[in-house]
Amino acid sequence: MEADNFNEIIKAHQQKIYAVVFSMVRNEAETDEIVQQTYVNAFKGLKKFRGDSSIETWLIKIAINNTRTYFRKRKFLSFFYDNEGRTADIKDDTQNTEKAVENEAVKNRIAKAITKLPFRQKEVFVMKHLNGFSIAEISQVLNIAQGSVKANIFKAIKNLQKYLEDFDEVQ
Amino acid sequence: MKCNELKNEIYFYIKDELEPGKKTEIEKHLKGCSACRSLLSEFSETISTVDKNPVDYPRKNWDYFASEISEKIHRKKHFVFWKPAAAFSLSFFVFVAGYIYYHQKNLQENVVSSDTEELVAYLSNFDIPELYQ
Repeated sequence: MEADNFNEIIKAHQQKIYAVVFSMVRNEAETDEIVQQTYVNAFKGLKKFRGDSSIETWLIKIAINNTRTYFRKRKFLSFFYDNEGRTADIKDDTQNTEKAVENEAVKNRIAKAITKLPFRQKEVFVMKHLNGFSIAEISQVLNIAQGSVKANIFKAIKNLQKYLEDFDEVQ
Repeated sequence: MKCNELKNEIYFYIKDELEPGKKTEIEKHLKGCSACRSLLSEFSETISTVDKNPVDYPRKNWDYFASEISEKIHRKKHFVFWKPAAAFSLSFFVFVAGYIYYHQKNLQENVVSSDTEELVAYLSNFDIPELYQ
């Protein structure tokens, strides 16, 4: 594969990769950084790409690894300062109606609940439910058995249910 | 089908992504298992809450974003030695600063000791008994 074609590769896959990373990180600046780093890593490793999987699967693998590194760093830094506010971009609600503000609060709550999931569950849930990947694709990207993908989806929903328990009053 | 087997398929049942045979098997199990029916209802509710509140993806100019990535790749390629060079410069600076500090300290000690020797030599020209006590 020619490095000259790399611009085409960026354009073809950036939106899908961005969506997967943003669904997990929920912060635009951090997502920009992770996606850019994904392509930098991919460009460096382009010669090693053997074509065992599609280029998109390979790029998503790199993006997932970079997202894991981001969460590890964030967990480490959380020992030194409170970075809770970085989880999701805070929206300006001042001009919105009461209902819109309420909806925004619910959305933020769901975003936080997804971010709170253990990493494997979060990866699987985000890829399957929010980005429409097939079980076979997830299994290939994460290098785990299809049964394990299904088990992690079950655990993810179980945990989401726990995190969103008191939502009934809001809904 | 047992309850444990159903757990892994329940999401796909809710999303209607199962083949007809599997779906019938699950429905048969659900008829006779209240615990699984309750699980189905809870899961459906959670999934519906998530679906009612889709992710607000940022609106981006994708051509611009792609050009930013290209630029970053280009920049990284040219400044690949930046980090090792910075590490080397820092180590070199620490080494030189340490050397200068050590050298100055030795120099000061020598000056102090030679000053003391000179004073003793000068005083020895006089008959001062206290000096020898």
